[in-house]
Amino acid sequence: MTKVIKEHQLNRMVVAACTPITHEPLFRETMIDAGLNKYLFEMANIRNQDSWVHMKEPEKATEKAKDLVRMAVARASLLKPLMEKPLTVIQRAVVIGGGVAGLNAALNLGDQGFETIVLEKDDQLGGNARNIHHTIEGLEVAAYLDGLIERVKSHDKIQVLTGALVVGYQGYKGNFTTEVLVGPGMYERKIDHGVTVVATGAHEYQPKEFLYGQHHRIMTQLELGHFLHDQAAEAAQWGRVAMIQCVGSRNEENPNCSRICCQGAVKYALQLKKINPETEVLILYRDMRTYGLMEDYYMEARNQGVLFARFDPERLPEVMNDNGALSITFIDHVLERPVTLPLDAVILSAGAWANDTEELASLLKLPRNASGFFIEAHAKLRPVDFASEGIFLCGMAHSPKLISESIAQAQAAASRAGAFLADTNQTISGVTAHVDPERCAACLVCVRTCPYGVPQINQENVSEINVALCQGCGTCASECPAKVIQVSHFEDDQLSAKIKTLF
Amino acid sequence: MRLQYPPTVRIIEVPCTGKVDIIHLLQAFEYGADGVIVVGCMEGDCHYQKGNLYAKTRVKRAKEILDKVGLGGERVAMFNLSSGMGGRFAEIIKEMTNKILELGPSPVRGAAAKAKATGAAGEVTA
Amino acid sequence: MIKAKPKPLEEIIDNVKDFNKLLIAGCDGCVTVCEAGGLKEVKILAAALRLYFTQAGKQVQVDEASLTRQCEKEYLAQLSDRMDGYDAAVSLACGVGAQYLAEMYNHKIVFPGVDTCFMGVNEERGLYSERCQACGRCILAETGGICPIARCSKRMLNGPCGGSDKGKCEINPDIPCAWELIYERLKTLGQLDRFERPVEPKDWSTSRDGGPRKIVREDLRI
Ligand SMILES: Cc1cc2nc3c(=O)[nH]c(=O)nc-3n(C[C@H](O)[C@H](O)[C@H](O)COP(=O)(O)OP(=O)(O)OC[C@H]3O[C@@H](n4cnc5c(N)ncnc54)[C@H](O)[C@@H]3O)c2cc1C
Ligand code: SF4
Ligand code: SF4
Ligand code: SF4
Ligand code: SF4
Ligand code: SF4
Repeated sequence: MTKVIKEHQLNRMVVAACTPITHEPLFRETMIDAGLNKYLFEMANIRNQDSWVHMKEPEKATEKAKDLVRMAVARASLLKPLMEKPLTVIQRAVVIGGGVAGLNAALNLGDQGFETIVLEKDDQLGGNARNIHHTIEGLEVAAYLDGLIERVKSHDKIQVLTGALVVGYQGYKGNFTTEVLVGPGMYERKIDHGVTVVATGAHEYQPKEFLYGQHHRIMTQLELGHFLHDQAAEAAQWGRVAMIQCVGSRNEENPNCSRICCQGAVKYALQLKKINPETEVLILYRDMRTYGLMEDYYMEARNQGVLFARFDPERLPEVMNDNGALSITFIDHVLERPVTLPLDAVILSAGAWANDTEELASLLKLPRNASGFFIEAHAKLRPVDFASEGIFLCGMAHSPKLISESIAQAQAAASRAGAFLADTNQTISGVTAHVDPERCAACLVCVRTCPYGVPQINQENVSEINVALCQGCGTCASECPAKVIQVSHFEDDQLSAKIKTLF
Repeated sequence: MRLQYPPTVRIIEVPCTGKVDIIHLLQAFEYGADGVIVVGCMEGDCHYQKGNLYAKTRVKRAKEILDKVGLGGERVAMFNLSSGMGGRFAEIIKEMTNKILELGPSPVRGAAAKAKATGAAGEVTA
Repeated sequence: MIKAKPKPLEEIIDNVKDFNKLLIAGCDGCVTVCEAGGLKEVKILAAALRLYFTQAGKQVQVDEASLTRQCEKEYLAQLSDRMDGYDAAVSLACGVGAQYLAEMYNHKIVFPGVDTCFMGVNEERGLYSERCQACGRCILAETGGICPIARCSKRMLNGPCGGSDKGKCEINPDIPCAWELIYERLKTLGQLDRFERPVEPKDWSTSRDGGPRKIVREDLRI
């Protein structure tokens, strides 16, 4: 390609192939090698948007491919070279949240040689893993956690601030400033850093259903875990235990599956069986989601006689407390008939609910879903990045996941963050908004609509957009009543040309 | 996933539906589009926080305008999808194409135009 | 600033449907700030009208322009070499601008494209409320900085009418009673004694009651 560009003295390049998401960066490199500005490049995605999705209609697909190429050419002819300003990257990381995920991310970053500061709002590290005694495989969590905390605390590159509350957050990728209030004295500290890892985790839902809180033997999974740890002898006396799945998950308030509770139920059922093989364990489920190799434990539980009965969310089991005597009524899915059984304990497999990060999300301007979990930039292509560059995500802050999964994701986030810090030749994307000050009415619409608070009315009484902060979303450009904002690389005429060429 | 959908749709990518200008929506109809759909992230899941909510208000206004000028507001619509909903995307294209086939070609393109339904969609590629 | 809102599209269509060459003229002033008549609105209206005419099978030229301020001759003059090419214009400026455009291009029909509403503030985006009625002799100094002429439904000058209910105006429960606001403000300022001194009967001749008004500033003229 470089050769062709030079030979024919080309000044734009259009590639008709596959998706720009994965391939544009490569072709842009080629542009640079050929001495052209990398923004003078356009791709027509005739694979994902055409050949793949119109396999059975080759003629129409060919017509479409021609259109897609025509559109790309039309836009390419109007593309402008853009200059990217060099970016300085402060060589320091901040990790928000000191659970297993945050600690692993910090340790990884510290081991890479980057100064890292862990901000934990609690007065101790560890997060939710403190409530788990062993994993389904039988690994001791407390021992692991103590070791992890020790390694983090003694690491010469890592600093831990507990009782740390994030109260301010400014700047842009490579150049963030986080304001924290630390400790009981609430002394203020400002940290300049280049990347942020968000690992704020989740907690067990406090059930409102199934008489929770009204009887000491109606408990959640985590409570059962502690009980089995501390009072195993008493648990050995239990004749029958029922576990109810999906409590606080897959309902209107929290539509997601919490993923971990099915394996949790199997784990504790096996533990109960181990303490006393005679204890009858009944698991009332909607769908058993013991994904991956955990299926083996599910089989094991069945082999050991754990009973599994499916219930319909429209016809929930009913827990009854008759003067301290517990029982449960559920519709047996085979008999299609209500069955009532006396019980010694009811275990509610309460879901994982995101920790309260409303304020943090608004300070960092990060997207969360309706249940409060943070949203990655792209599920497949950028799974631990946020759309805003320089901020990364791991652990249960993203979605409910096992300790092993949290650790894996923390490593991924730390390696992405480390790669970002290590890349000291970065530039600021050219895809940013620009105001034509001549006709700006200083109406404040852009100031009020930008989700990142970037535009400001300057000394000259016109709007000014700091390209380092601008994320290039284009909201301001489409809202400006004077039509004086353009987003470079997505300018109005560049988009119009694509539409026009179709007709 | 390579789910099949009608080959009558042409996609125009923008960084975020926040960039989808109502002027471009109307312009597509001026040039002769039979229908336009805007495909954004799920509400509350916008990678840029609120872009899709602004896009929604613009699509709503475009609908009103199309109704009043006699083209019919049904020709423009907004859908919110997540990146894992390729199946739904294909369905939407099918539904929208069928709806537009029912409505017939845009009167703007008139008799001279090719008898095909063409939609331009803003897709979030972020 | 002046606050306006876009006119219903059907009304504009009804006005212009029999013309063949149209100019949509916006204003970069107040109406841009209240998002009723800037270049964006011009483009939207022009596109809508073009769509209307095309689907109705008519070939009509609809052009777009936006001027710095339509209430100034010099800016209006920027249209002088184009104006002959049109049969009519739709002005997206306030009533002031629309009239001045018509005055300047006497032989052209000018339609208003916005409904001009009042002088007021942007409380937030898309929410505007009235503050001043341009009475010609401002009494804000006497009323705790809150205008009873613009904000009291009955333009009471000396205290409330007696109908205010829980701080809301009896004419429209959506608006606060201006006199309640004045009272609260004077209390904050420690000036409740102002109520002891009645506001003098107002000379309404400087307001619209005296007929159309004019300002002649000899100090600015040579
Ligand atoms: C009910 C339940 C049962 C589970 N069962 C199992 C199991 O059986 N097996 C298994 O492997 N895994 C299980 N898990 C998952 C496991 O707990 C996690 O994967 C693991 O602990 C990693 O969590 P984390 O570090 O992402 O978050 P957390 O452990 O929640 O840590 C997050 C930390 O961030 C802190 N924080 C939150 N907000 C802020 C803020 N704004 N500023 C500063 N700090 C903040 C919190 O105080 C907390 O210390 C379970 C989880 C739940 C909820
Ligand atoms: S929205 Fe447009 S006109 Fe208004 S202040 Fe911003 S740039 Fe200026
Ligand atoms: S494009 Fe505009 S709205 Fe989006 S981040 Fe940049 S300044 Fe803000
Ligand atoms: S014409 Fe009207 S809207 Fe335009 S600047 Fe003058 S007063 Fe404001
Ligand atoms: S007293 Fe007159 S000039 Fe002053 S704010 Fe009220 S209406 Fe306007
Ligand atoms: S209630 Fe208050 S604002 Fe309304 S008319 Fe009476 S005095 Fe005026």
